[in-house]
Amino acid sequence: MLLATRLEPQQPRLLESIKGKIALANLASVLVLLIVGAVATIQFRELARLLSTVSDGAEVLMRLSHAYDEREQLVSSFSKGYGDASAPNPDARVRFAAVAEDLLTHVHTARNKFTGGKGAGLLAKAESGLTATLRRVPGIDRLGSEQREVTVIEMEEGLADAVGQIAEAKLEASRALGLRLSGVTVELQKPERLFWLAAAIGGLIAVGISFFLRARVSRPLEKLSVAVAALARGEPTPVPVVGRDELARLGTAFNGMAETITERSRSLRLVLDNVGDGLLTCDLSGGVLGEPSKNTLSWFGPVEEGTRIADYLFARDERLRDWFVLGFDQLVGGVLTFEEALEQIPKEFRYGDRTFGITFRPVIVGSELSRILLVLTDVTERRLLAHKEREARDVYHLASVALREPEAFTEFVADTNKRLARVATGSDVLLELHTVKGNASVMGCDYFASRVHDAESREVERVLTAEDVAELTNHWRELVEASEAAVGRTVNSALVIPRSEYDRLCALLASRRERDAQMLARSWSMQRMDSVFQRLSRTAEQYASRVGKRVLIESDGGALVVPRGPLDELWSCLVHLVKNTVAHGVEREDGRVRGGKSLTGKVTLHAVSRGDELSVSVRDDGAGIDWEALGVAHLDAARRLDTLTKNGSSAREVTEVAGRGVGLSAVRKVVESLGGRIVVRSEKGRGTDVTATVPAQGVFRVAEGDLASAVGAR
Amino acid sequence: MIKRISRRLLAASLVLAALTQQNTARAGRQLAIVVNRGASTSSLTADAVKSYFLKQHKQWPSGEKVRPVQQESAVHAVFLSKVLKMSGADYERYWLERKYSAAETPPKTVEDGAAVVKFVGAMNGAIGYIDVGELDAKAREKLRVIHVVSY
Repeated sequence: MLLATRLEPQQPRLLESIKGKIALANLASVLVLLIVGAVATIQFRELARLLSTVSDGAEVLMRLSHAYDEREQLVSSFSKGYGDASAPNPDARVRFAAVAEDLLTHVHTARNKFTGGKGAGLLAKAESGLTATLRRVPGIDRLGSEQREVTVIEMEEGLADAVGQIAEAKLEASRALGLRLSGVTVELQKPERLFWLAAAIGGLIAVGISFFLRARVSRPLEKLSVAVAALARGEPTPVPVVGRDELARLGTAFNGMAETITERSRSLRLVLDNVGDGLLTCDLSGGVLGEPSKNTLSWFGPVEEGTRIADYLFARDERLRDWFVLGFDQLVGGVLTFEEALEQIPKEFRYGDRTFGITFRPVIVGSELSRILLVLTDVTERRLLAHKEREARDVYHLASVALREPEAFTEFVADTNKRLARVATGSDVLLELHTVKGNASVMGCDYFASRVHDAESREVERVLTAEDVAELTNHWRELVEASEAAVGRTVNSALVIPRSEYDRLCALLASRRERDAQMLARSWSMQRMDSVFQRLSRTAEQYASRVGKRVLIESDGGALVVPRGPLDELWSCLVHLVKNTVAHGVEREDGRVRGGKSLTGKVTLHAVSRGDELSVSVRDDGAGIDWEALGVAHLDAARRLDTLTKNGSSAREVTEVAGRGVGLSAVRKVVESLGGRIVVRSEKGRGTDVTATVPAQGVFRVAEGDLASAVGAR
Repeated sequence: MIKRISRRLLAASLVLAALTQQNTARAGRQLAIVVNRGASTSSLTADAVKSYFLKQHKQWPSGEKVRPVQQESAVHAVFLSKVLKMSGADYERYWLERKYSAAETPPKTVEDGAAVVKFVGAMNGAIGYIDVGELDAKAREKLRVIHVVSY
């Protein structure tokens, strides 16, 4: 606007001088065209003359062709009409006379038009030969027979000679015509050459004019426009002002204006650079517009205008970049509203060791979206604090587990260590991560579980790296160390026995009942199913309350005493089975009402020992498995199990708690590695029973009561 | 085996001999090149005959126009192979080429020896060919034989 008002007074005179120069150029072009036209006229006249001789030649050729085509008629009608004296043929004679006359006319006309060459001479001979022969025709019938025969032969020969001459003349005529046509072609090239010459001269004049205009008009304007562009970029460059013409005055005005604008934008920039956030503007194709604010530059380094935002901010993370590009397309695509589209775009990302939040503000000019302002906020500290808080919560939960149930803690730690080690070697990554995640969330380590979930997601997308695993393991180790530090001892390697047991051992040793002492000590390596079931029940109840379900846990077979070995291995499987049951087996309350069941789901834990095997089952009265829906209703139990553990989950929604269907596969894997097997019995709407059977020697049953006394009694 | 082959060879050579004999039996025939009685020429070489028939020379030494005539009978083939020393296809190709380059046509064609006698007898400068067997006394009156070829 400012520029326009200052330009106005100069405009008319500027335009006048440009117009004058263009008029001069036009005059020069017209002159050149006139000269070219005159020369072309002369050349075209010559061409026209040549063309008229060509048309004569064409007529000659045409007439001779006619005459030549009639040769057979001429000779044959003569032979028929006059050849046989005894049978004169009047029709043939009439035809002969007509053909001969026609032929004579053609030959005569062609002879008159034939110019140059020996063609005219040939035609003259043919004409006189024909005339002479025809003159003999009337006398034929008056001759004696012998004389007549000779005369007919002679006349036939005369006709043949004439025809031969016509043929020769025709050849001559076609040659002459060919020559003339090539002459025309040559002649035609002259105007063409003239045309190119004119074009070249015209081109030269045009180049001259454009040089002139460039030096006088466009160069100064160009410098001005470069300066304007530089001003737009924020690098004010004064225009060199030479002379005193209109353009020079324009330059001076521009320099003054540039100074004002620069001053204004400098103060504006000072404000923007001192905002805590980083600012970055981009056009609708995602290219950087202008210079980002100081914070942005210091975080992400310098950037050239036009660089794609995705390449600038997400250069180090291809996944994020693709995500951003897709989201940005939605943002400017106009199909979704801006707010809806924002849902599709990353709002937080890591860059180096910092985390940034990113918000998008539409810049609307008129009613059109014209560009987008990105506000980048360094949220590293905030995130770090949040993480620290969640970590602390994990430590608190794990430490309380360690205090309340040291055995569960020890088993959990040992199991998780083992599984993370397997993940690090790359075997059964998905299974192991899933198991670790499930166990962690049962233990209340939500933050750790969420990180394992992230790792699992990355593995599903096949982008899990060794660094990710190392980081996860490191986090785990810190969590365990912090928990142990909170509890105040290294639980991992401790054997926990009640005080009364210890006192009893001392008493036995004091009274030298060494055999009993031995039995007692050995009993510490045994475990009653009761205690296992108690822990499982607690786990299931906690878990159920977390997912908003109500369950009642019953147990049966708690009087079994089992060596720790197999149970330690089986523990994580049982946790998994219970978790599965609560998460998938038992319905929510509304589902149970619909199924006509009591509001509280019933879960039964059951242990039984047969021979050298121990079977533990987890049974519920929940929704059961829809074998029909899985398409395996017709298969036997083993095949059904294969389907359940191979094809993944039958759950529709993957949640952090449960759902990728690797749970049962993991359990099966562990049980089979122990030399055992899994049996799943289920009926839709009635419930599910999963039984794990493993080899276990030395299992025995005790009466209700305390294990140690049972051992002591033996 | 070898005996049988040699017997067959013998039989084949006998047949071949018989054929050869038949050829020699026909070898007595002759072809005469004839011109009009009034012509000044009395004899011509085969090459000269060829050049007149192919219209490579169009005038007799006396300045008279050469008027070659050919016949449609079997003698024509003999004339082509013995005098012009050309195959039928070569001869046709020759005239086709001449027609397009110089508007030249092949010699006048008549039916048989009698027609040749009639034409050559009537026209000054005419030249033709006939089997010597057809050359009777009356024909000899009008024509002159200038070259003879055995076949």
